[in-house]
Amino acid sequence: MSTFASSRETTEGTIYSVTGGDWDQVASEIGSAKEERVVVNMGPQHPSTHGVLRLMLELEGETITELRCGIGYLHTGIEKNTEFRTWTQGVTFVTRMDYLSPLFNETTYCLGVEKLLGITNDVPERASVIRVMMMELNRISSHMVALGTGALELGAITPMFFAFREREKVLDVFEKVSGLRMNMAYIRPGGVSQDLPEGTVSGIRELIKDLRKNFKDNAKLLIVIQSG
Amino acid sequence: MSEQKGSFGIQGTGDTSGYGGLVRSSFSPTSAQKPYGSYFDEVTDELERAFPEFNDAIEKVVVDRGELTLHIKRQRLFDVAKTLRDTETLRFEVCLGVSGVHYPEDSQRELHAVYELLSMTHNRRMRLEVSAPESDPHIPSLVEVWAGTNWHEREAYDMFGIIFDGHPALTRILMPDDWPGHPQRKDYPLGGIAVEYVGATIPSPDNRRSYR
Repeated sequence: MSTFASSRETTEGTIYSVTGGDWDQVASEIGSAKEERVVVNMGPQHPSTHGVLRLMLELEGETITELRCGIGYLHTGIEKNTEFRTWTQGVTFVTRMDYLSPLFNETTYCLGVEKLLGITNDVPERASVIRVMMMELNRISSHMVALGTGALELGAITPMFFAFREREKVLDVFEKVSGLRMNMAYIRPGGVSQDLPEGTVSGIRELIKDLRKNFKDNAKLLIVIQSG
Repeated sequence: MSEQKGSFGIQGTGDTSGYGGLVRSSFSPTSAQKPYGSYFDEVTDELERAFPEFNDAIEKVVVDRGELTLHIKRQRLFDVAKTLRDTETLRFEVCLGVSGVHYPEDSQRELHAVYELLSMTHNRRMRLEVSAPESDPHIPSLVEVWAGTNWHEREAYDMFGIIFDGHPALTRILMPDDWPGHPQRKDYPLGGIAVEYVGATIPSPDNRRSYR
């Protein structure tokens, strides 16, 4: 009957499969059916390019009466892999769970392993301090991506350049300390993989001064103060 | 305590640990004796008061590494969970997730489901653990008590094959709908599964053509 929607008879009535075309025409043709129930497949699409999201909507007119979502194939099988590896090797996997804040995953995992092994009190204080410091820097680099790309979603491109510039400086510290900019596997059960190289602390002090100033500039770009 | 040595079914160069000395051991703590310490006595006492069949429903109370776990008979799980949520002195409003665990050597109790609970009112945490035999993998669903367990139960079903009775739509959540088997069971191999696409198959690494 329709040029755009092929139809087939089922036990639940006529089902139209719409694969494109003029929506007005499709809607007017389906509108003549007794029951106005439309199932629309939305996606799969990238909500933020992190895996795909597919929504299956059931519409009654313009109202969504039911929704099911397919969250995509996001499981990376880390649990299965770590079944066949040592506690130390596990860090290499968990660091990849969130590539924007790898050090948090590593720390959480290592704290769990230490608790299970009963060695929590054996972790040197210096290692704990380094962990916290690295996590704080990681928090900054992660937030910079959130703010930069958040502005990008709204159509503002400039804040992203500034945010990524600051992030880059933090990643330079990571590279100096652990050898890698991301997925460092730096934090290990029992402590960290190596002590801070010479000059790191003074370098970070300089970095923080720099960041403070530049964040103010970036805030001016991101925050709109409404007057009147 | 049981121990398993070697490379866990992987042959030849398949030892992924980098050396052959990996030992996998599993450990299950025994029942704790009162006083449990911390707020654990208060929680268990209050639960006993609010839930008179406490001794019948709870298999054992475990306090290990400063954490409280109640092992519950699966038939009583729903009632215990509802009591934990609704009783004013307990108020475990949040269930943080449902984790499946597979203990192949634990006869008649192979599959476990673990629920992490949080009471924001009293700032307390605890854990519920239920078990089911592999031959009858049924555990009551807690979606009616904590709606958030919906997807977690689907995941535990998908990965371990635990069937949550009363779940509104228990389907696979991560694996394709037609996937055979449950990937996180201990007897499921690592990397030994051929990957299937529609109309094409990629053999598993150990079954691929050798170029040597």
